[in-house]
Amino acid sequence: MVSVLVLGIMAVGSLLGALGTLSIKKGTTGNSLLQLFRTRRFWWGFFLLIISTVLYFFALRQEELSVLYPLVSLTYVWTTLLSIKYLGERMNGWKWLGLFGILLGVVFIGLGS
Amino acid sequence: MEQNHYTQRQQHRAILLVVVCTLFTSLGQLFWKAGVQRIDLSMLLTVLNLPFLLGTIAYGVGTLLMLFAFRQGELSLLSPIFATSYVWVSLVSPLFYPADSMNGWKWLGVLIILIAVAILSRGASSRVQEGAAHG
Repeated sequence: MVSVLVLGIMAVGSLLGALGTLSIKKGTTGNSLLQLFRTRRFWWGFFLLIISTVLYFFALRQEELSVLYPLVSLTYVWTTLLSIKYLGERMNGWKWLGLFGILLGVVFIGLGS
Repeated sequence: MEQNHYTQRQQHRAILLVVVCTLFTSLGQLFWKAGVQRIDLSMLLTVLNLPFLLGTIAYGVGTLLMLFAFRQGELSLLSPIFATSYVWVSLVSPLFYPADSMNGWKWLGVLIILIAVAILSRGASSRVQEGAAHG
């Protein structure tokens, strides 16, 4: 059984990763690359991504990749939901199907790892 | 709430950028894996070994490509495509680490991810053009 600790670390890690990506995406809107590196949004997002990576490393010491890969891919679910809510992006059938396919593919790669 | 409008062409270019980005970040991971093994904590300068530096450069290039991609595509479209890194790592890692050999599960996963990326590309609808068509 996967420990509650690992599940917790992965849930928080994937959510922080998604929030970091969202922050960086928001920073890129309307900014040139040089301007972007002066925004707080970019560095805040960068910081969150590093924190999530550190959390993944802790989880990696406790659990197999076959368990961790599917949990890391939770990031894509969080990012999609955050994009709908905070970026006003619209979904369609292809995008939902594609997201589902990605999750399925990552599960299989995890099984083989 | 902000709403960005991207053309289908922009979104397809953004998808391609993410795929190339994950190639670089995956190479970066492999280089780092090799580089970390060369680090001797009693000699801090061993951090500056070649694989580690190459890995850092690869990550930097990957990050820039990601930023360019983000400027021309929706996050909900691009985010799942970062999973292409699983494809690259699965295919390239066995070349350097024989223990990471390919197997049926991995091939199936690689195939499904590639199909999913194609499906996502199909979902890159162009709201700007739709709006123009209706107007």
